[in-house]
Order: sequence, then C-alpha cells, then structure tokens
Amino acid sequence: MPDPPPVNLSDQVLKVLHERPEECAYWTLTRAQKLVLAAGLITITALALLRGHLLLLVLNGLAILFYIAHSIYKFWLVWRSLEHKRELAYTPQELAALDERRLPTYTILVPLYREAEVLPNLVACLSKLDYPTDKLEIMLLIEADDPETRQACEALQLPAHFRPIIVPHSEPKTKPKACNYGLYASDSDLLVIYDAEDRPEPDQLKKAVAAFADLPDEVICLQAKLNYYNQRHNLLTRWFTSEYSVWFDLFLPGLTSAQAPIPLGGTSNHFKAQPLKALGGWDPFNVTEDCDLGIRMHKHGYYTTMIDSTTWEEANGELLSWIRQRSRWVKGYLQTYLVHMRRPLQLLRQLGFGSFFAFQMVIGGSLLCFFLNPIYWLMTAVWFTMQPELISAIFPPVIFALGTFCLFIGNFVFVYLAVAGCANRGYYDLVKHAVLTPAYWLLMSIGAYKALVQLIHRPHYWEKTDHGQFGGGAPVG
Amino acid sequence: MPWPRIEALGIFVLTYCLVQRVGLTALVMHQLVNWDGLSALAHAADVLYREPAINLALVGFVEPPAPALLYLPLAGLFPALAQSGFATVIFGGVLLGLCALLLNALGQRLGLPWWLRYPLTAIVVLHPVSLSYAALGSPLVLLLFAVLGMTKSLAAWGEEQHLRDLIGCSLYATVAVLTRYEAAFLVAAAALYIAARCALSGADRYSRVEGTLITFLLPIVYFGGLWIGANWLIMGDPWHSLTATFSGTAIAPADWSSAVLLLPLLVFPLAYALAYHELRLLGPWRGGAAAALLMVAAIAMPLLWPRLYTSLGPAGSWWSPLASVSVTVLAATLVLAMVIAARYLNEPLNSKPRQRPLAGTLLLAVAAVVVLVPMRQMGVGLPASTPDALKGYVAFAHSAVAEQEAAPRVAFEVHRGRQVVIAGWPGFAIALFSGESGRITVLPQVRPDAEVAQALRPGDLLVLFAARHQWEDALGDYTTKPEWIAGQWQGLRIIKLARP
Repeated sequence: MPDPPPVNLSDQVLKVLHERPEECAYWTLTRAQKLVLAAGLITITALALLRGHLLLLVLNGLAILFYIAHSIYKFWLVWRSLEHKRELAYTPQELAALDERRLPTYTILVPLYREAEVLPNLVACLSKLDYPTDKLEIMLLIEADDPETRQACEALQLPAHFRPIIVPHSEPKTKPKACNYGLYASDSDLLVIYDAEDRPEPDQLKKAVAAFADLPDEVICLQAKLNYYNQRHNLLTRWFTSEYSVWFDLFLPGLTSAQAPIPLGGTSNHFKAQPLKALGGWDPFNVTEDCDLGIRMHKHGYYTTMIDSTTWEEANGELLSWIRQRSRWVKGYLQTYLVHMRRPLQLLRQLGFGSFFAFQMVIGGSLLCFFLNPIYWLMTAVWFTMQPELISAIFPPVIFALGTFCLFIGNFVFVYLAVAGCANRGYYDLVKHAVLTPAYWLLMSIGAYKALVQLIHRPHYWEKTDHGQFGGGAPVG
Repeated sequence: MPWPRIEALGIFVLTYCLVQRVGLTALVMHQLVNWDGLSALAHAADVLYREPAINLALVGFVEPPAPALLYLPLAGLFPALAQSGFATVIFGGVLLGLCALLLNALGQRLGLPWWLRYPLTAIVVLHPVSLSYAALGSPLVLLLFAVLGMTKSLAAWGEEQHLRDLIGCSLYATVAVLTRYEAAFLVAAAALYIAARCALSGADRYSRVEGTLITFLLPIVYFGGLWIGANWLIMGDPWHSLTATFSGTAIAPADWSSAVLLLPLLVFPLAYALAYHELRLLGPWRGGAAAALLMVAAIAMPLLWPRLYTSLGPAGSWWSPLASVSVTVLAATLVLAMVIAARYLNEPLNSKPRQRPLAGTLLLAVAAVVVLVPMRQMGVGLPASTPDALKGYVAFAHSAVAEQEAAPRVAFEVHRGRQVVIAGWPGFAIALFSGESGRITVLPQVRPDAEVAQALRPGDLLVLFAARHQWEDALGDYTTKPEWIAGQWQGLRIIKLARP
C-alpha cells in the first residue's frame, strides 16, 4: 500500500486509515487490484478480437445466471421477513418498566453542514426523545467553515444536554470524519447517529437499550428502520418511500435473520461505543461509511440486528439532487466492495461462506444490477423492434429461456416487492405508484454510471444533499 | 431434525407413496390413463423434444398452460418418464403430497391437536376424487393444490390480515387461473371478500381497498396478461386458448341445477352446513367466511352460466364439466372444517353465544344425510369409492390399451423412415407412448388436413379411427390400405391408386 498522507488531526479521527489501512477507502484500488483489472481488460480485449461471439455468449450466460440468483436470493430474504417478524419489538409497558436510574449514558451524534434551516426542527424533535437528559448528550457536529449553522445554533436556546461541537477543517470533508470527531470526544456507553432532517420515534433510545440488554455481547449495533415523512410530495418521493419500505422493513430484517453482514443505513444506527472505538469508528474516506462499517463489524465478529422503531427522514424530491445523492450512495458501495474485496480469500475466511455470498449478492450484486440493467433493457428493445442476428447469436435456446424467465418473472418479482413494501407499511395509496417502479430503476442506473465516473476522478467527494426543501424545515406537529 | 419437519416429511412421503402405488397399479396393471394429464405431459414432451431446440411455443394453446409447464421438469429429466406415462403418477404424487402438507400446516397454525389434524388431512389424501385425480396426474390435482392454498391463505388473511397470506393467496390464485380458467370466478369472489374486509376496516378505506386489491390482483393480472399476450403473438388471437377451452356446445341437461346442487353433498356431505355456519348473517366475517364464499362462488357460477360449464365436457356428463366445482368444494370444506374445529376447541365456551352450533347448521347437516341416503340407494354417488381407487380402479380414467398397442407399430414405421400421421383425439397418446412424438404429425381433429394429406407419399402410415374416405379424397393420386387395427385405431398404408 502507498504511504498515507501526513496527519494533521488527531490520529483517532483517521484511525481506520492509520491502524487498518487495508480496510480504508483512501486508496480506491490497491496495486494488486490494478494488476488484476488490467489483466482482465487485456484478456477480454484479446478474447473480443479472437472469439468475440463466444465471449459475448459466455458473458451473457453468466449475467443471466447472476440475475436469476440475485432475484431468488432477494425474494427469499423478503419472504423470511414476511413469514416472521425479524426485528426486536418492545411494548410501551416493557419500556416503562425500565429503571431510568440504571439506563446507560447515551450520545447522539448529529453531523451538520449548512443545515441552519432545519436546525430548529431538529432540536425540537430530539428534545422529544424519551430519555433522561442527565444521561443524554446530543452533539451537534458543525463544520468550522459553516458560520450559518453555527449562528443558527447560537440563536437557539439549546437545552443543557445539547452540545455544539466545532469540527476543525481538514480533509476529507465528510460526514464520517465529523462523526469520528464526535465519537472520540464522547464518553457515553451507547451512541447513535441522526441526520439533520431526522425525526426519530421518541422511544427509540429506550428500545435500543432494552434490545442491547437482551442480545448477546457480540451484537454491538442496532439498526432502526428509516422511512419518509414527505412520501406523497411527488412521484419521486413515492418511489423513494417504496424503496425504503422494502429495504428497511423487509430486506434488511431478512438479512439479519440470515445472519449476514448488514449494509447499515446512514442514520439511526445505535452502537455500543467501546467496540466501535476499537474498530476505529467510521472510514472517513468512504462516502457510504455506514455500509462499510456494517461489513467491517461483521468481519471482526460483531453483529447487527434490527429494532422495530422508525426514524422519519426527508425524501429528496428533486430529480437532479436525487441523482447526485444516489450517485454518492453507489460510489460508496463501489468503494466498500473494492475495499473489502482486496483480499477475497481472507474475506471469505472472515465472513464464512453464507455471509460472503450475502456480501456478493447485496453489495456486488446491487452494483452489477445498476450497471447491467440499461444494457439489457436496450437489448430487449432492439430485439423486439429489429431482431438483429447478433442478439439471436448470443441467446441460444437455454439462455434464451433463462433470459425470458428473468425478463418476465425476475422483473415482476422486484416490482411486486415494491408493492409489498408499500402494503406492508400501510401505504396503500402508494401501491399503484410502486407498480411503475421500473422507471425508478432507470434513474438508479443513471446515478450509478455517474458514480462510476466520479469514483475515478473524485473518489472522496461528498455530494451534499440539501435538506429542508420538502417539509424538513416545517414546524414539527 | 425438529419434530415438525419430521412430521411434514412423513406426511409427504406417505402420501406420495400411496399415490405411486395407486397410480402405477392403474397405469401398468389396468392400463388406465387420465387423458387431460396425459395431454399436458404430451405438450411438455413436445416443448422439449418435438424440435431440435426447446420451443416453449409448443406448450399448447387449447388448454391452460400451467399443467404442461409443470410437467416440463419431469418430461425433461428422463424422456422415458414421459413415454411410459410414469411422469403423470409422479406429478400427482408430488402435488397431493403438497396438498396434505398444506392442510396439516393449517391445522398446526390453528392449534388443532394431532388426533383431529391427521384425520382431516387424511381426507384429502384418501378421498376418491382427489386420489383419482392425483393417481394419473390430472391437471385437477394441480387445481386442488392451488385452490387449497388459495382458500387456506385467504382464510388466514381474514383472521390475521398478514401481508404474507395475501401474497400467498394471490400466487396460488395465479396458478389456479392458469390451470382452469373457471378459477377466475374464485378470484372475483376473493377480491370481493378482500374489498369488503378492507372497506370495513376504518380509516382510509378507499386507499386501503385500492392498495390491497392491487397487491392481491397484480400477479394474477400480470401472468394472465402474459398468457393472453403469448396467445396473441403465437396464435394471432389473444383469446384463442379461452375460446378453444370453452368450444364445446353441450346443452345443459334438464337436471343440471339439481346436479350442481347435489355435487357438493356427494363430495363432502357437510359442505352446506359448514358454509352456512360461517356465512350466518350475524356472524363475524373472519377467515372461515372467506373459505365459504369461495365455495359458494364455485357452486353459483354453473347455476348462473350453465353453457360455460357444459361446454367443458361431453353432453350429459356431470363430473367432467363440474370438475373444478368438486375440487373447490373439497378444498374449501376441509379448510372450513379445520377453522371451525379450531374455533370451538380454542375459544372459551361462553365467549359468544353465536359461536356454538346453531340450529340452522345442525338442520343442514341432518338434511344432507336425509338427501344422500336415498341418493346412494338410487346409485347416485361418487364416480369411484376409496376401496376401488386404492385397488387402482380410479375415477376419471380411461383405458389406453388401444393406444399402447398402436404405439410400437407407429414407432417401427418411424424407425424405417416412414412419415406417420395420426389424426383424431387422443392420437397424441400414441405418439407419446411411441417415444417418437418429435417425428410424428398429430392432428387433434380426425377430419383431413389438406396440407398434411398432400405431403403423404406411398409407404407412409396414416392412423385414424374414422373419416377414412374423407382422407382418401384428400390424398389425390393415392389411397389407403388397412394394415392393422388396435382398438378403435386403424393403421392405413398409403399406396398409389391402381389405374384401370
């Protein structure tokens, strides 16, 4: 690995870089990966020139087999969620029975950057959390070059347990870097991340405490469900809500039941602080630090479980902004995949076959789908209109039959999952919009290709999402 | 292995073995087949073997596609399974085994004790109707599985409103509709029930009804739409399969209504009593009502639309056109029996007065016995009894002796390089048994096809059971010479016309 940059901040903020460089996204590709990639490209080019038809046939066959495996695996995970509730749930009576004197100390990390507009709402929401304030510390992590948010903070009469923290300017300028700053400044037993526009359910912290008490020690993370409060703003927010409903209500619980590594959501991750610090916190160079942390925890023998509590967020309803946000997520998934696949055999040993397979399907598979989908849609459209010889040649009968299965059944399965996600949440009016999900997939692919380009030129650039534009700044009811 | 899995495995294996014993006895010893099952198997064999490459378009567009599609793996594993007809017995064994598992799982979910669960499960295994359909791989055993799953899931959704039950019901309903088109009426009844339950649920009624119905109907509409599209693409008519299935012209016999109303009592004597118990006006419309509604819908449709059903079978017959009704009654009444038994066993006796058996229920039960006793004495009953079925004399079966006798003769001709044409139904059985269905032309109608007739040459073989002279007229310069007879089938050699 090449030498890391000189340190100009506390070592702890860049702990992953210094103590676990093999797990840090500072380098997009290692030397070995570059060699493998180059060798692969050369091989493919040579095969394309010498046996182009055979190459396309094999690649096509492999892609279709992948699609089938991916579809079956995802459907199986969702069905597991539908069969039995997989998240930990607690009744109000059980939470009321908790002895507040014995509750652990809790830190809430709220990274902020240009969030002056939503700050009042955020403070109001977090003030409603049902947790003794003498055991609760809410760190508002404000970047040094963000005077607007700092001034908004000063203008508010913050309750005593709110603590504005100025994060000194340094590179990379990312949310995980700020979170690490707060992590190592905290002494609490537990901590959780919330975003600026988040509205967590008031009893979420107590649910997390109860869950940690019931679970084995190696469970160091609890993921709450995320959903949107501005679901019906427009078609894009409806699709976004449908996606989140499937992901957090059905897919992730199914994944936890399979004891697979969980790609964490960006907020509402509750941690035991000490093990998190020992792991080095978040990777400041990964733009989906949450996903990366979920995999890294699993590699080191720690697990994540879901709790039955929802944090309401603001769905991005502006198309270009949505594509930018999605491109960051996909770029982060690319980073996560490349980082953890630096030593695939070691990863296999660390995760075990089942979890390794889950990692390939969930992280690698999702990426592959984003990139392959437009290619196959285009091929299908061309085939139905012109039936060119080239496409017939790479679809011999067996592959054609499997491809037909993927086209008509595989795609339907994913549309139906979107419908099921909405119905499961009780968003019955969104069900009809979920049927149009294939158009949403196209947007995802656009974001994915943008991410691929940006990974090459600006791997650590953080596409900031503006909040408060779709109701996040409105007074909380 | 945990006990529930052992139990499930045991139930499946026992059921499967029983069906194999009955089916193989019927097929091998008595040379009986179920033509519908064999037809579906023949279509599956055509898809795999008729052309050099697999051609899904040969799945057949006269009958609904699901049975033929499900036969594909069996026909594909070993061609001998298709040629011998053994695939039909395996098909039936697997599906009846799954039916038994579904019922047992329902009983477990309802908390029924084993001494109640096992006998109710055994009914579906040993009932002469289900056993007969299963033994020889009739598509009706697939319908039984689908309707049982649909009824069970809908009843469970009616009780607990879990999404998984709604999705399960939808997927089973999709299979049912693609097995027998009349199942669409069951889908309509289920949709009405779902809409009614959602409309009574309180807040956001309209969106709840809309969203829940879309969730339920989407798979059915989608896969039904795919099938209609396939008909349009390949046959040029989106409704080809539908019109071909209901193409019969049998007029409803005078006693049609009596037959329709009597059939449920023959299948399950307590059918009306159990349905009434769940559909009482004052009763809460929980899961049992859903099962009862499906049964009522299945019985009502032949009364409301007799010509649709009589077109499914030969004139004057009951069981063939009302096959889907008998299957639905069997499935629904077993689910009803389990649901009602569970309610009486698990709920406190004094919970609600109307949970106890009502006079109306008991009256209907007694009336059923009063009606059935003289009917039995008059010889009206099920087409086979359980003891007969266990000996291989299953219902809804026909002798295939003639076709099995003709098959090797036909195969011999094919091996000699002769062209073979078989015209008439069930000529496909001869082709299937010969193992050379890929090299034989099979025409469903016995009347001559001009194009096929023109392609015949001296030495070729034409196999018919009627219309010989019409074929000779169509042959032009050639005529036919009878060479062999196998039952109703006649093997005719094509020869040149002797010039005067």
